[in-house]
Order: sequence, then structure tokens, then C-alpha cells
Amino acid sequence: MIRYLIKNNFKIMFRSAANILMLIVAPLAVIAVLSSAFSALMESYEDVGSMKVGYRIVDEGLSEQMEDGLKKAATQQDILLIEYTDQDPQELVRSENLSGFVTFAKGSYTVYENEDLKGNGQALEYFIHAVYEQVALQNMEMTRSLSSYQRFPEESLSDDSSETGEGSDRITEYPVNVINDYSVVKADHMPAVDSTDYYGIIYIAYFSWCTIVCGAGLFSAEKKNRIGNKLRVSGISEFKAYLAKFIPLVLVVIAGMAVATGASIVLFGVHWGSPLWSFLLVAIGITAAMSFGLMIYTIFDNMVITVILVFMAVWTWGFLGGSFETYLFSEMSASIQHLSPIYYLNRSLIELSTMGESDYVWRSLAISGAMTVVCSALAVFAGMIRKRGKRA
Amino acid sequence: MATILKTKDLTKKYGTKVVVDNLNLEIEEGEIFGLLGPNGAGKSTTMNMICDIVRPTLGEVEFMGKDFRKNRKELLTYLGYIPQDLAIHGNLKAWENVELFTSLYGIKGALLKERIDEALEYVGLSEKKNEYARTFSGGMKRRLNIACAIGHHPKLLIFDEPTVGIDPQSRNFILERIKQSNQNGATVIYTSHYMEEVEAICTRIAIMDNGKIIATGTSEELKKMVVEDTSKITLEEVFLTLTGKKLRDY
Repeated sequence: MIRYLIKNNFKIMFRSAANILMLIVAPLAVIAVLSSAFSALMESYEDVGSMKVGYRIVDEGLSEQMEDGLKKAATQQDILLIEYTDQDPQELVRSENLSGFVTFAKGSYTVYENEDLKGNGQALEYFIHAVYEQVALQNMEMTRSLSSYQRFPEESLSDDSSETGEGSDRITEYPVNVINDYSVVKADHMPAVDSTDYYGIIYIAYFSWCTIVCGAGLFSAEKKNRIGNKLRVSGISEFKAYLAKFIPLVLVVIAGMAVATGASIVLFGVHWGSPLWSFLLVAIGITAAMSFGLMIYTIFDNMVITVILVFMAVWTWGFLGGSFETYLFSEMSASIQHLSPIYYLNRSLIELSTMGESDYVWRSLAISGAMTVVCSALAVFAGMIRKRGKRA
Repeated sequence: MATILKTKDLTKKYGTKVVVDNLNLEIEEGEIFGLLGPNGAGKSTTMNMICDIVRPTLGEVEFMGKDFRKNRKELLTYLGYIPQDLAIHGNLKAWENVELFTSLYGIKGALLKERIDEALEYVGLSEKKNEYARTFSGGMKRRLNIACAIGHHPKLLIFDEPTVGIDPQSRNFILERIKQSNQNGATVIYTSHYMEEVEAICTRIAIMDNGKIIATGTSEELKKMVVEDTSKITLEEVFLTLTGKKLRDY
């Protein structure tokens, strides 16, 4: 009957003032500091200036009909579109110092980004996406749709959408292949996000990965008072003993992060995307983080080593995943960024916030879920070995 | 009386060091069995092997007529272990501590509440049930430690030095409760350094040294091993005579 064990372990963790500090006060303080400190950096993302963009119409269909309207909209957005008919797009981006290159086909388009001008690339993606979306939604009523277009969603939603009767322009159905200088990666357009939203979201995610320390009080009390021996005398299995730590730890962290999130919304006005998906992403991320932490703790049986190793791992994942330098401006290659589970979580949460949807949601859930299962299995296995070792 | 616990050639080695050496014990149902020995004699290791916290290098433990290792899960429900360490959580209230440990034996709902109240009443902590264990004195913590081990009504209670570092009143209270548990039908194994405690409550005593039992019997029988006139010797003198006066943990 581990429900009472879970309940009481939950109480032990929940009653710790240190945990309240770690779960609620610390993320709020970091959000306040970083969103303020990096507001200028995020503004540079919004203000990309004029752009010179190459394009090519590959298919004589839908895109051809769009051409005039597209150019007009581009001019309004300070984007100079130059047609190139036969050279390699990647070569052109390099040789002509273009902000990007777009090839249009029937129903799809490909954006080639300039790796040195990532902010421009993002803005270009969003521009093309928005144009396509308008076309799709309004059955190619180009003039009307393009007049309602603004580069960033805040502007379009606040001003022009009311004039045209249009709703949110954040829906995308188009797969976009972005080719940088060296590799082809799939990416979605990414409207601007301000520093409050970015750091407000990212640091809830980051802290949720650090919170294995919330179990420190319980773990050290169990060790100091040799409560493990008493649990062993009760005949409780290693799996149940693991669950009795894992479940309350996850619940306490979710509760703490929910309070921190609520407070960040009220205090700083952080805009989250879909509440359901965002909650699910953070919650499953927390299960992954806790199982990872418990695995380390079970292997080393030492809270100090656990905290050091977990913090090192989370710091590295955070570094790769945009917790410090935003992933939007990161110079790191995508393949390295993809090694971080925090990258998927950050990206899906930010895209949910700015676009209302993200291709990264399922990937993030799958990675966190797989991590939870693997780390839990290893933790139980390590616990069994350790128990045998202690008994020997 | 039937034998409730039997150890057969129980041995524990750590490398080349033999901590418990071919220990053969038979504990009868309904007795209070005292295990005395200097530091490092192997008492706690013996208790840990009986409770299956430590695996024996050789030998086996038979509990209620069954091989302990083969019937571990079933037999553990009849065992109550009160460790020397205070195995309680300071951030839980007294009743929550008892609930946590009692529930591990499958007791739930109304019966669990009943057992919590009963256990706390038994150790005299009913009025403190809603107070956090961290606010308790040493004696209260020791009593709570006992309450956490008796909620499932075990048939065999193993006390590993339960009166360390507490005042005479608390000690007296605990000893009275151990006797009462025994009167209610529980068999008790009791280890301590306090000779007068052991003499006061134990029906049979074993003296252990260097991993071996060197003498077993009632208090009177042990005294008679040293002198004929038992009124002229204390159990402590018997103990020192049998185990020697050399320091063990220098």
C-alpha cells in the first residue's frame, strides 16, 4: 500500500521552505532579471531592417498568380525580392549576400536562410508563411489579404485584422524546408517573441529540470535515519520504493511550477500558448527530469554528487537548448541543439506561445516520455543492485 | 513452548573478518530474549541478518517454522523492527509517521486509523499526535520510533538498543511497554548495553562476544556460571568476567 507512503513523502517535500524557495521564488527572480536584462536583445530580433531576398518560381501554378501581390507585400515590409532563374540558391545566398532565398512551387515553398542573418531568416519565413496562409484562407484574394498583412502578429492582431475581419494569422499547414549553408533542416516560421515571454517561459522549463533538489530533504532524512532499512523490513519492492519517491516529487514540482507560472503571468504578464499543451509539456518534462535525477541519486547514493551531476547536465542541455543564449540567435548547429531535451521543450513552448502551435510538441513529449521510462527502469535496476550490495 | 525463531550456523564475514561466527540461536515463542555484548560483538549484524537487512555469508534463519529467505514477504509481516537509529521523519506529525510505516504492511482505511491511535496511545503520545516529530524530545522520539513498528501487530519484536540517550522516566516507560507487549503475546528480542534493563525484563539472556554466543541462560543461570552465591554478583560483573575488561572500540 504505497499510497500512504506517497502521500507522506509528498507532505515532507511540500513542507520544506527550501523547496518553496526553489520552486517559486527562484524562477520568478530569474525571470524578472533576465527578461529585463535581455529586452534589448529580443528587440533586435523584432527589428530586422530591410532585406534583399532572392526567389524563383519553380512551378507554373499557384505561385505565379501570387507573384505581383507578393512583391507588393514585400515592398511594404521593406523586403526587396529579386528573381534568379538558374543558379544554386545556396550559392546565391553566399555570393550575393542575400538575407535568404525562396523557391515557390505549387502549394509549397522552400526558404534558404543565410546563416549569418538568422533573424532575417526567421522574419522571412514568417513573411512567406503568412502570405501563403492568406492565400490559402481567402482563396487567392491577393490584394485584400496582403493589405492586411503585417510582419509581426502583434501588429496584425491589434490593427489590421479588425479592418479586414481576419482572425489570427498564425495557422500554418505548409511544411517548410530551410536550407542553411551546410545542411537541410526542417523548421517552422517563428514570429517575434519578447524577452518577458521568452524568459518567462524558458525559466519555468529550466527550473523544472533542476528541481531534483526538492527531494534532498526526504533523501537525506531517509539516509541519516536509516529509514531505508525500515522500508526493507516491510518488504516493499524496489519498484514501489522508487514510485514512492518519484510520484510525490513530480507532484510537488508540478504544483510549485504551476504557482510560479501563475505568479509570472500575474506579475510580469507572460503569455503562454495553449494551456493544456503547455501544461502537458512541462509536466512530462518534469517526469523526465525527476526520473533522471532519481537515477543519478540511486546510482551514486549521494545527494551532493547528484546535485552536481544533474545541474551540470541541465546546464549543458539548457545552454544547447536556449535557456541562456536564446535558441533563436544561437550560433550552434541544429544537430547539436537537438541533443538537448530542453531544446525541444523550450522551442515547443515558445512556438505555442507565439504561433499557437508547434511541430516540436510531439517530439518534446516523446523525448521526455522515453527519458522517463528509460531513467526509471535504470533507477529501479540500480536500486536493486545497490540493495544487494548493501545486504552483502 | 514452540520455537519462533531459529538461526542455523549463521555466519557473516566482511572480507576475512568474521563478524558473526556460526551462530545458533533458538528463541521460544512468548519470551523476552536479551542479547548482550560489547561493542563490535556482532549483535546488530545478527539483528540485521534476522530482519534480512543484511544477507548472511552462511547459515539460515527459520522464522515461525519457515525458511526466512524463501518466505520473506510473508514472514516480514510478522516482524516488528525498532532500530537503534530514530527512523522517523521530523517533517511529519506523529500520526503521519505511524501511518507511513504501518501502511507498508497493507493496513489501510479505518483499520489504519484505529491502529495509529492504538500505537500512539500505547507509547503515550496520543496527545501529541498532531505535533511534528522534529519538535519532540529524545525520549518522545524513541517512543514514536516504537509506535511506528508496532502498528501492524507483529508476532516478533526486535528492539535494537531502544533506550539509548534518554532519561530514566522515558526508559522506564519503554521497558514497561515492552513487558506489556510481551504479555499481549509478542515475542521480544532485546539488545542493550544496560545490564539492569536486560536483567529487569528479559526471561533469557545470551552474551555474545567476537561473533559467538559465549553464554546463554536466565539471569540467575548466568550468575551461577561465575559464582555460586548469585546475590554477591551483578549481571554486569558476570558480563565483564565472561567478555573481559579490555576495551573493544579504542
